Amino acid sequence: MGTRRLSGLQKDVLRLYRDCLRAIKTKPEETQHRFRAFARQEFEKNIVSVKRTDVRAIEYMLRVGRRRMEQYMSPNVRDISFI
Amino acid sequence: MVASLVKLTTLPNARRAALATGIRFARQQPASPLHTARPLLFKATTPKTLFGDNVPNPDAVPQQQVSRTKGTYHWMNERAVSVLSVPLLATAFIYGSHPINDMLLGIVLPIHAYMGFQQVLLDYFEARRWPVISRVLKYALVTITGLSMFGAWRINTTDVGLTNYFSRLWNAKKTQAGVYTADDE
Amino acid sequence: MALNASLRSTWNLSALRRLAQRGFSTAAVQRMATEKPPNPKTFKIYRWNPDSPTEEPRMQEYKLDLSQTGPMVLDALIKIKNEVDPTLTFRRSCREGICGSCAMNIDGKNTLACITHIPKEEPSKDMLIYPLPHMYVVKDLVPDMTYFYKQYASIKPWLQRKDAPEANKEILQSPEERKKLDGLYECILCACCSTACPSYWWNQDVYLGPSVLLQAYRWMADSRDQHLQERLSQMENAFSVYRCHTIMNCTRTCPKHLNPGYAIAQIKLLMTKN
Repeated sequence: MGTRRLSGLQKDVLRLYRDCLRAIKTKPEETQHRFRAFARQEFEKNIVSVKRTDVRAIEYMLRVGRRRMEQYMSPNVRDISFI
Repeated sequence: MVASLVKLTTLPNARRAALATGIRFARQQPASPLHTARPLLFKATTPKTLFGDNVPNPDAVPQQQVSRTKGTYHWMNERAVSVLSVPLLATAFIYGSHPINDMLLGIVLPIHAYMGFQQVLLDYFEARRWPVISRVLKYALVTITGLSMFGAWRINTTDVGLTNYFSRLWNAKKTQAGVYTADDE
Repeated sequence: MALNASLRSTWNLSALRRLAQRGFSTAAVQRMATEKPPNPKTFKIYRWNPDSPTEEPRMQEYKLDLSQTGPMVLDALIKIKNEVDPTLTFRRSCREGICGSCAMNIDGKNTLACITHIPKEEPSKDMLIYPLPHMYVVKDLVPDMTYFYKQYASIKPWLQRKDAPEANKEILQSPEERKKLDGLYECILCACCSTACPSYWWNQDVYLGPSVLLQAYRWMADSRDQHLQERLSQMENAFSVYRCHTIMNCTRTCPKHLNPGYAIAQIKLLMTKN
């Protein structure tokens, strides 16, 4: 089974997603599934709309994503709700 | 605050009444998901620090490893070499060629240049961003510095000496054949 | 006689009218405004919308009549936002150079839009407005200051004491000691200097930048602070301070006329003595 070679940018995106999943572990157990669904939705939102070669746009969204993750990582945020 | 205001509209009556009377519901479980993408902000009931959560986290920026050799001592060495080169250059300009002065110039000037270029490499080609190129350039710089020191030593021992060498270079005249030669006056 | 009376009555009429106009302030302002000759000027402003991140940033032109605009660049920006294009985004708050929100690059110089005059003598010359250079853009003229503020937090910008003062007593300071803070405490952290510094452009992640270093020195110079050693040893590496090569762009650009370059030199001096 050959593994697909990922570009540095793709690795960064996956790293952010992994960090998000790790951060969710620090949340109260009963709300974790909502955080997880939210993170997943946020990533899936841009899969179609952004071209894989549009490095600048992806880098921008990575930055925004990391900042939002940091914001939501605050222990004061215990639950999330979204559409 | 905003989040709790948003929440207010969907709260059951009892809780809305509790909110209105100022009773905090920080410990309570939130209701079913709301139609908003805001995080529900509940203030922690016990502040972790003396100043609460308003104090910024000083560890937010990755701290550098403390190293006086890379910091202040390096900076002082740079200044020391610069200051040292002043009397050497002054001697060379005013007094002219002297074997000891030439020898010292041949050591101090390459070190001065080495330290200057080291700063350039730190600015533009640092290992954290250029892991391979920074290493190549670092060794190249050491090699070039070593070679120029060796060259200066050769000029001082087997040739006319650094001061004379540069004064000849400066006063060289172009001959008919297009070759630069020393001006013998 | 009759002619004289009629003349007098018309004179009185116009005087009355003028009086009435002066009485109604809005009418007076309108009259004053319309009396100025039109003075058009073009503003070219950097636009980028995060909602469509795949689109390239662009320069958008706005034409304003300077006779109808306030004297400062911020007045022009607010006028554009109010009357021409409400999607134009920029930070502003105090409009008097004390909050540091409206720091941007105006005609090639980092400065505060609220205390920068629109040069009226050359109306034909376009005015170029960009966000602060080498910062990530959030939208239009709004730069992302998150890391800058983190760096500021990293120098612990608060009074640190080893012993607490006696109960109900202030920590006193002599006028001379207080004087050392002049030229430091006025800094509003607008980041004009940091983003004008080439060293900060290339090594933003490790070099603290003039603005934060000036603040660091502000706490080192404070006679009431007792953590000088810790503050200095935190800087003890090749990057935090020593990426400063005394280029002095910081001092040239500072909209508050402070001298971050001098403050950094003072830090270096303290570190050699430490």
